[in-house]
Amino acid sequence: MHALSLPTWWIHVASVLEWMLAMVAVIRWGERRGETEWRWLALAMLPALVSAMAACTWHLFDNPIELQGLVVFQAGTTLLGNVALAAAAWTLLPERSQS
Amino acid sequence: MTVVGLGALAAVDPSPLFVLSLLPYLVFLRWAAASKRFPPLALRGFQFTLVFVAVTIAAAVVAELRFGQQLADVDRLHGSAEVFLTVANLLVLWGFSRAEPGQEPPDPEASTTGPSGEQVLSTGVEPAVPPEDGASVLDPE
Repeated sequence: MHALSLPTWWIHVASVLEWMLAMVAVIRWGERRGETEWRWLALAMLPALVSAMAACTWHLFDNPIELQGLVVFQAGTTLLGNVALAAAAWTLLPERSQS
Repeated sequence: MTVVGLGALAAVDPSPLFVLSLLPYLVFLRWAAASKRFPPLALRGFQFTLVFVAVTIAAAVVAELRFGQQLADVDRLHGSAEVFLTVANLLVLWGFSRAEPGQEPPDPEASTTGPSGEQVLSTGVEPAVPPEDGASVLDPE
């Protein structure tokens, strides 16, 4: 775990924690507004979290070529997550039926 | 099983996947903006993630050309690039948590009457702080 310095680790951890808290914040935001569709956005943020976990695991083992599969997994979950985000944003579009 | 799966995955080039993932993200940003329902600061955060992507690509090129290493192995560059993601996520988090529920006291029943309710939501930009209640607490006079 020494491929990353301590500050770089903290930067990673901070990003992940913020993302997790943001997911909770999105759900609360939806609850405050009485708009349940925001839950889809929170759920759509999950693949990116999984993606981040994969990346951090790879970093934890000093970015070895043997674990290159993790990087591919990260790329795949990133793609999946972004598709999910787009889909969630679509459900939030006003007057979808007209346009 | 999972190890085998991971090994098989390793044969795949992740670069096209990362590039491809940019497309749905741009669509996401477009629809998120078009919905006009996101907290502005959160939307900025999601947009700022693109800056992180750009910086990361540039940093990866520098790591490769100057150090002959992958970005993750050049700590200074790696950490510096990742800061942009930390900032982006912070904006998203702030955006969604900062906006107080009290900012649109018009009761839900009124706003559910029609699609015009969306207009009310955009008032989220301004912090509609109730002056009377707060003032008496804060002002020593």
